[in-house]
Amino acid sequence: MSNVKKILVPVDFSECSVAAAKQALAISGPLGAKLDVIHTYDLPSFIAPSMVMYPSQFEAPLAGHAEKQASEQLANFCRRVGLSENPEVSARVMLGPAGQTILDVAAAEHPDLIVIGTHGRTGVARLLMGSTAEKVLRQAPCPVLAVKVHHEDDAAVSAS
Amino acid sequence: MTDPQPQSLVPRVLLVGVDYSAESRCAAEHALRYARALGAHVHLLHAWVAPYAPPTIAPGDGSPVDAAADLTTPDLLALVRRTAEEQMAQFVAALDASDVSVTTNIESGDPRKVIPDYAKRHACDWVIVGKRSLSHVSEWFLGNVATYVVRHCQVPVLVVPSREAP
Repeated sequence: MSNVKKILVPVDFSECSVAAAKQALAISGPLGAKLDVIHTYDLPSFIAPSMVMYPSQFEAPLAGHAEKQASEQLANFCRRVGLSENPEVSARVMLGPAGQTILDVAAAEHPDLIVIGTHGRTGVARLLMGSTAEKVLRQAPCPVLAVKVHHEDDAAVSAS
Repeated sequence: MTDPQPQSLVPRVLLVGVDYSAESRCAAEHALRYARALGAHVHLLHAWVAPYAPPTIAPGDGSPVDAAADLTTPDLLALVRRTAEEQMAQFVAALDASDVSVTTNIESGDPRKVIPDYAKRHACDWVIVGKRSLSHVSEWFLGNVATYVVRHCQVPVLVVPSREAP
């Protein structure tokens, strides 16, 4: 029997997080583990002058829109990776900066394992490791499986 | 569009980098647990770096250099290697590995190079390394070896924090 019952899978829809989600899915069956897929999103940083003058008027619709969009993207991602219609998989979106939000979830919910892609959607593709993955690897209280994309060339990585 | 779930993503060969520390014991225990659940084979690999040894070692008490003749470099290397093998044997004996297929290996060289090279040569599916988590400061130092291995292995790397001190 394995002691790995809950696997946290942070995704940002990059190619690396596709690879990470597939890896997590592949081992979840034999391990008898549940997958907890999370996608963190931030509110758009662009703010029109009118939004500053009447913040309350815009805040709620903006936040609602961002959440809806993030949820739709996550549902698409789950379908694409084959995580939909799986009773052992839960997926949710969370508002906040990626690295810290993932660490907060890990601290609060005690997953037995985090599976994360080494390169996200943002940042410099040529770096050897993305900043979110690096932060999670350094600070997570539980084991972290860092997954890379199986190699394609540099151009494919930069394009993502 | 749903991609089929490839069976090949279930790891069959796990490689653990071992330096006999508490952190690497923790990493090895995790590896054994995964190996049991996934039916995987485990390689335990220790990389040792040859110590610097001057051509002759003077005892320091003024006696002739010949007194240290048994500490010539080849002997020293043999001693280091023998010690590493003994340590590996002790390390494995202390693990509960009776129900898992385990291979042990000792190679000379910098572990940051040796681990990724070995993983490639032996077609390891995952690499597993320990991480120090002794203090708040150390969380910023993932560990020289762990960082390098994550960056340079093509296969997934599992980084295992050691248990917090009681």
